[in-house]
Amino acid sequence: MSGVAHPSLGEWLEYYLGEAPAGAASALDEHLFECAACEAQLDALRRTASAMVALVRRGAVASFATTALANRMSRDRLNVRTYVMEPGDTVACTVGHDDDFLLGRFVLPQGSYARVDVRVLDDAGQELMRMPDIAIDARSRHALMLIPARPTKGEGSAIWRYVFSTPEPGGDRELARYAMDHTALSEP
Amino acid sequence: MHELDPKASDDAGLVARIVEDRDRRAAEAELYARFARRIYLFGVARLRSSATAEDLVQDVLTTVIERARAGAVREPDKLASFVLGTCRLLVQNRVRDAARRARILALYGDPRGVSTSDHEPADGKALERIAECMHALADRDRTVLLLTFYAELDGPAIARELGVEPSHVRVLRHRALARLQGCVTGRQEAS
Repeated sequence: MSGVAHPSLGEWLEYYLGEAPAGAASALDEHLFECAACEAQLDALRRTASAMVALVRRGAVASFATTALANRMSRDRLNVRTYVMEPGDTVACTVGHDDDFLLGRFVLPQGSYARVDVRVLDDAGQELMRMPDIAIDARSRHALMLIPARPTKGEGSAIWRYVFSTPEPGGDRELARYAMDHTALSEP
Repeated sequence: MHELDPKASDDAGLVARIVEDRDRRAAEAELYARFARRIYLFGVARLRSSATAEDLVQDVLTTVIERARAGAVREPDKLASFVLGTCRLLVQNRVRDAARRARILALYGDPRGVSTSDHEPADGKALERIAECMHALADRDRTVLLLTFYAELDGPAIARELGVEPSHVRVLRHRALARLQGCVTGRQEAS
């Protein structure tokens, strides 16, 4: 049997997503039906995709989101408790027993930024987490942060502070601060 | 450069066992084992639904086995091509039927109201590993993968969501998936 070059992961990804051009898709069909190694690679891709869907439906993924992602969660009837915050706001927040996610919708100040970084601080100003180069929802110019509700349900009351900044040649320029004043869930 | 599936060379023998009814049941089971997952993956890619892809597996293999029993596989040494041809034909029929259904739903509305895309559950350990690797990804990579696989947006739609060029989405998507799979298989860290 003659040797052949295997398609790349990128090519299989476009094929799986139905985005490969017709000619390329046809060639990939033929390769799939002849190649056990590529069959296994494509199946691994499919299992990864399925797992991602399962993780979201279990409320087990923290991520920055967009409006389309939030809309998809609504269609899946996930319970998403949303808080909208303007720059400088502190919102009182909690999490309900039936919640799958908290969604922090951070309204960004006017302006265009090549990149936005976020630091999460505790009430004493101690840095808990740093998230560089987050995705911004291009339609609303908001940063939508999805927080899984389940671990939050076990936490005590606390204030989380969010500092948004953009890197500039002279150092980071702070864009805005927000705070979520979280009240722990009472026993049902 | 790599070798293609060496089992392909057994095709003619497999078809002959079915035609001549020599250990036919085992030959048909072997045919099923060889092609079921490929047909399923082809179906998921073309039909965008795992449930419909599972139906396609049954339809294609039933058709292929019936044709093989009847001696109607003209080039038995090209069984993979015959199975693929059957897949393409049956997918065309399904796409035509789906278009007809879509026209009816456009007229009368979709009574289901919720997303009907379905995904088989992953096993617990694999899911846990993927969750760890998702967590280890850069934030933007995670968002792009969720938009791709959970929100089921295509490249241009993701580009609109994030305010970037579609060509950039292709790069981001591929890179994020490679990092995730590298982490899951232990070949590299996610970020």
